[in-house]
Amino acid sequence: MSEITTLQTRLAAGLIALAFLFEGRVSGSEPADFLPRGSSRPLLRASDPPGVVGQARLTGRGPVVGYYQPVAITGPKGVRFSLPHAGNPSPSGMTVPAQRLEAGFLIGSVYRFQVTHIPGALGVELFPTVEVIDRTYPPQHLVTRYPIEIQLDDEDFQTALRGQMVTRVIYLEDPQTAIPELQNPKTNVPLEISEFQDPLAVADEYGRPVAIVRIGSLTPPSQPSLLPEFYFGYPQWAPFPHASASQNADQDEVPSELE
Amino acid sequence: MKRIVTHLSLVATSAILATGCVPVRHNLPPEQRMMEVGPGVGGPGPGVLGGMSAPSAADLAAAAAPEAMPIAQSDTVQGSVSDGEIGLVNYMHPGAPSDSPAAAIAAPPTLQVSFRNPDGMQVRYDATGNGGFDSEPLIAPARQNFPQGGLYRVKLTNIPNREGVELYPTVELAYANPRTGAYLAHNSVPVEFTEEDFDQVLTGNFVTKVIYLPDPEFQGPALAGIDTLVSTRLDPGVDPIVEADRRGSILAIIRLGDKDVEMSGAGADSLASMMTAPIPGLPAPYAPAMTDGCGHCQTGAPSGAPMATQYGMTMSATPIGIPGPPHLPLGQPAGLQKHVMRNHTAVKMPRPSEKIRIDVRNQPGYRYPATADRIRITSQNLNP
Repeated sequence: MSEITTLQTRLAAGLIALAFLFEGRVSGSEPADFLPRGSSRPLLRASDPPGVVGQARLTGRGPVVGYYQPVAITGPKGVRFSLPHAGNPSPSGMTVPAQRLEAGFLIGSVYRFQVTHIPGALGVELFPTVEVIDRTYPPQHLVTRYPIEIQLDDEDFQTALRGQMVTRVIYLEDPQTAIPELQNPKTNVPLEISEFQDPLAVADEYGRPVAIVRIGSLTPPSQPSLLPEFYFGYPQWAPFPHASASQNADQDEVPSELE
Repeated sequence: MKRIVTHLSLVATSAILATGCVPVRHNLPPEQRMMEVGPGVGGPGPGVLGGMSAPSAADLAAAAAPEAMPIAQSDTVQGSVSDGEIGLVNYMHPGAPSDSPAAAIAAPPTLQVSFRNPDGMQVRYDATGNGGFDSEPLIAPARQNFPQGGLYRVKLTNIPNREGVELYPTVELAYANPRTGAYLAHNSVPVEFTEEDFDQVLTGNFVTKVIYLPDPEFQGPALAGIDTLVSTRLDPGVDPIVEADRRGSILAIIRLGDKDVEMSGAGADSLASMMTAPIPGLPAPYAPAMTDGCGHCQTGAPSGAPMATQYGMTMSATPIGIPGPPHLPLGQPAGLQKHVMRNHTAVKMPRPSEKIRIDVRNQPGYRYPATADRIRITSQNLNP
């Protein structure tokens, strides 16, 4: 009697399995059809709100909390960059515009800087943001000599002025897979990706992402009470020592996309 | 016999050398160690007088460069200014907001709306909350920040080629969400009106424009950025709001008709503003938006505050931490009655120790000179 019951149970299970299989063939839809392609889904994307990726890094391992990562921002010839300076008595509240912006940024904070003197769009100002999401580990006495180099080109600005948004992910090349070519400001060509790809995921394949730059056409609000929101709470930053001297020395080496 | 004597003398000599007929060295622990009771325990040890401890590196740095103002004391931060290092100077004055987004951002989250086309068109909004259009006119192209999650009624005047025409569209702005937060933090929401829109409205039609941020699968290379769906360009029966919600995340909904809301008898409720401007100068919403959102999403701080539950949305969170899907059809009881979550994590936690025995041995050990147990005093007087 027990063997008959077991056989009946197995038959029922087989019929149910066949029914499910037939149902799946008839409907033609699989649950995986509604999932994103690829073997994995990243937790963090470059399209996440500013600060999400960097804040997630702070919960990871390593001495990243409280570290001021040196960053240098350059652009086409003539373009000037400046940072908000809350203690500055000038009416603009910004630092002196420089062709090479050098500062130490906290990891996880979002810094909005000003871009002026854009070629072909004089009088227009852009306010991109830079978010440092990881740090580098140079020797102690060379931390400012090897900052994270962020090179913005004219196409970025023109695209932003058309109302679109440009996202740049700066990554540290994997030494095992790096292109064996000397990188300098003129040969450091950005990698263009399609709209369907996540730049953070692509950068993660090529190396270790360290910074995200987002360029749009947002302008400062007219209400002063909204400025802290616009500048993401004025996070602290550290200037380079002897920044003025280095700026003068580096102005001749600033890459020019227009040349 | 001579060999035996020789061997015995050698053994005796080596024994004497091994047992300590050498200069005695009194080995004391370092002074810093003697200042503490034991490993991991601070304070002076028993019977030890306080001594002068060596100054720490931070004290030396402060003494060497008193003008420097290090803002952190961790090892990851360089406290001194030298060539090749970052001088950590706090550039914020004491009254300035800190780097904490929660402390710095007290204003409501806003998004920027840019009125682009047609050029020269004037836009007014309610700036005081009294229901009128008492703001300074914005002349397109112009920009203005609006609080998120509000329904705003604006007044369009001076429309080119349409003298005397005044329209009162409503602009419903959605909250920022993790999908749109990065875009809204860097770009404005463009509000444009075309000649076709005005023609449709002036002929009695109702125009609904939905501005949305397409998902990557609906975003072609030629459509990088945002897209707009207009009700008059869709097939009959297609709701532009539903279609835009299917394609991406809605940023704004513009509804344009020919109703003159300032006409006497148009209805007092049409002009009565339900909300006041959160900050003087900001537009006052006509009504809250019908979209759900989380206030400071654009700053990136994951908000742990409970969100207001929208009609038809689940009140309980799913195991992945986001609100569950709406129950369709809306208004019906929740379809999900129960969900079981099993924890298969291998847990092997040792029991806490009830007794710990610590054997401590310092190498080399301590050796003090033998204390005096016998005193001999010899007094001699040469000249009594």
